[in-house]
Amino acid sequence: MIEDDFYRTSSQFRLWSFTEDSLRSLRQDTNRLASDRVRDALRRAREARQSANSSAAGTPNPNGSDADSKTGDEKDIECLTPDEEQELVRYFCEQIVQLGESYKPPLPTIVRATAIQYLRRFYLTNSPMTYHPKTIMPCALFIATKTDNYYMSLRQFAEGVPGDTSAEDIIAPEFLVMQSLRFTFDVRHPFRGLEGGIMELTAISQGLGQPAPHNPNQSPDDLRRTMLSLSPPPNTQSSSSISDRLARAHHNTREILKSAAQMTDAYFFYTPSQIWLSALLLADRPLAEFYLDTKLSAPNLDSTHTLTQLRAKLLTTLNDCSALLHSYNPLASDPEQKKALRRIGKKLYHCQNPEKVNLAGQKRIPAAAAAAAAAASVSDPATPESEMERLAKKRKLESEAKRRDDIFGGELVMERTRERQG
Amino acid sequence: MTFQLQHSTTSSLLDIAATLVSPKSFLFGTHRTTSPPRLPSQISSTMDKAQQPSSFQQLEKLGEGTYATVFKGRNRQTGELVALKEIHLDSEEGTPSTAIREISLMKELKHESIVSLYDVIHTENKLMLVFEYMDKDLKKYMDTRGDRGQLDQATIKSFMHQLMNGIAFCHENRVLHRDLKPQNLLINKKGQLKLGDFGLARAFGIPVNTFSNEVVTLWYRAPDVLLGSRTYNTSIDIWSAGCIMAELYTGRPLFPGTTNEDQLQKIFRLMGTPSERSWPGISQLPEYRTNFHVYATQDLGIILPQIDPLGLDLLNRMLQLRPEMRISAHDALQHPWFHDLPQLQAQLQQQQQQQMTGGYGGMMPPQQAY
Repeated sequence: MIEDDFYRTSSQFRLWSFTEDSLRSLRQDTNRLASDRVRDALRRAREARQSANSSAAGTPNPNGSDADSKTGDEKDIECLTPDEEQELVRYFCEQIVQLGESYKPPLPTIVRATAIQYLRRFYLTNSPMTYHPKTIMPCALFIATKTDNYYMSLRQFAEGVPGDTSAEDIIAPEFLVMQSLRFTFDVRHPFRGLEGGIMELTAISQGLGQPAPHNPNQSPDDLRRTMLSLSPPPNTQSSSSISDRLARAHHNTREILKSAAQMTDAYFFYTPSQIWLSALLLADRPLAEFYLDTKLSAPNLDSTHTLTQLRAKLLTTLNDCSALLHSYNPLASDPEQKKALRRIGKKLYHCQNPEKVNLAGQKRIPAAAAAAAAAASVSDPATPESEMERLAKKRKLESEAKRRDDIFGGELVMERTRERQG
Repeated sequence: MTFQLQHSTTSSLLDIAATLVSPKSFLFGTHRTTSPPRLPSQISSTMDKAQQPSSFQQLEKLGEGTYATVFKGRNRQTGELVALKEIHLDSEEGTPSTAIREISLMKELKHESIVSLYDVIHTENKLMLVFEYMDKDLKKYMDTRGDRGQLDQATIKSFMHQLMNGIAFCHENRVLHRDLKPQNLLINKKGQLKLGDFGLARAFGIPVNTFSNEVVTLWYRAPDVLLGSRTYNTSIDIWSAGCIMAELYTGRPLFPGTTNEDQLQKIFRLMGTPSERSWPGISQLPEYRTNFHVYATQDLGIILPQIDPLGLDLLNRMLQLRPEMRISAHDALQHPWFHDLPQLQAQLQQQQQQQMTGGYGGMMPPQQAY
């Protein structure tokens, strides 16, 4: 068996690999379903309130929340689009990087990368309108510390999460997240492949390269000479040593893997080897193509040879992946994106499913809680009303807590607060 | 370079994703009766769809795992037997990391010599892993089936082949089991042996130098681990497999040490005390002592009179003190000792059939109850 066969047995390939079309339609379906549920839930809440108001005619409700009556007047709820959902999820993926950085010592790259992929996988079948990413994000990161053997106690972990997030809040959605991940926790990253490739290239640069199986006459010296004669990567001073060049390519590729590879759909479309090779192409194209040539070309191959065809096909895929990675634009450096995100955050405030806000209460007895909520929504109009009040209060408390917290998208929260006051 | 969709149509993919079905549903083609229909008007979340524990009838307790209790269970719909591994959720930490790691590995390691994980169920305050049912562990099997714990040649060879097969698959998938012992090897009525209990297993990469050395039950623990090495690798599982092979012949553990030092001494007494000459670098290991009692290497054949020369050769390759000298699981499977396995298995099958037809009349003595 070759490495690829093993990858094909992995859950990442079996369950979490898509075509562009299949991924798009999955996201659209998730969004449609969640939007329908949000509209229904808000309508139910409105009806419950109206019937409560009419039964208590004239008596002002002492606990009546102004936020509720405001949404009650709105005729149509405007829900998030799939693209807006994706923007929001990406924002929280970037937050994972920052949150991981804030621990002392910072969480390993691999833990953060795993958590990001958990969050991205979670939101393929769940909508931010149903479960706000701010509650799912810390949980995904905590699960990643467990899967990647980076032991931290929950208390220790919770202390690093800014704001009023309690330990209980963090693990409240744990089973929900585990289930949405379909209990597949093993994420295959491109980092290890990159280390292997760099080790190989280093060996070649030291005259210790191995000839490819199809090209047994290749000598270590030939390989080394070819490597030294490569044209320098664009935008660099030409007079650097080969070891400097390798170190720079290594570092830059790794940076791409830590950022663009995480924040785009690369993991859903490409294998780990394709991802690191594509990142290497961006970092140092001549070096990456040389590496491919050591595997897939030989002096006397014509264009119909299997290897030649494979190389062409592979390069097409890698170029596509490179383009995807290259399209990544970090939020911090893009005021337009920030603006768009503020708008999405504001929109989400109005289309958050009110029945899903209190995750902590549902955690221990999910079935019972669901049954109670379902029963309440059909039989007893008084219950949802008090439930709604409780949720409204909780939401108020939450946003008050969030106001103090800057790392967690203070801007989003500020916007909301302004919205509430305005 | 093409990325095929796992499911032919998007809607079926969505169905699968939305209901979050588990392998069990694929295996048995049954839909969960407990899943609420996906009506838009219904409050529904992935969380609500947790399968009810009542889908399984809990039968007798089978044992205590590293972090859980295992019960025999019966699927109420299919009548099929399963093993239910009940994990208590720690309110302090949520799902134990051992459980998460075991689930994670079992989802990747699908192999005939590794116990299958069918499903994961969440109940009030515990998590239940639903595993393929196996009749007993190798320890109990030897106690009930063997002649004072010793097994016959054909069974030993068959078990060892399946064991090495399972280990090879783990190692090819970059997983170390780290806790191989007769209690973690499970046997069913078909004579299949499968690796179970991956609670201590972990995925390895490069480098492998930060592992804790507090793993693997003492008796099956490799000398390099006992000497405090933290850069161990796949070879630690091979040492354990060698200890198990000897135990299959004698019915007794090969090195039943009581403490770390005692364990090392028992190993050295038989395999010889290693030195810097036989094992370069050994003196750098944390637990190495210059005053180790010096034993000469004994012939393993003396304590294993029943073993044939080829079997002894394989065993010696597995029980090498120096980790890098130990045979790999892949190479062990190619060892000539296994060459006559197909013929032996045919004979074994014949014997079993005779037992089946002849045995069911009256009272059976316990060792033939299998």
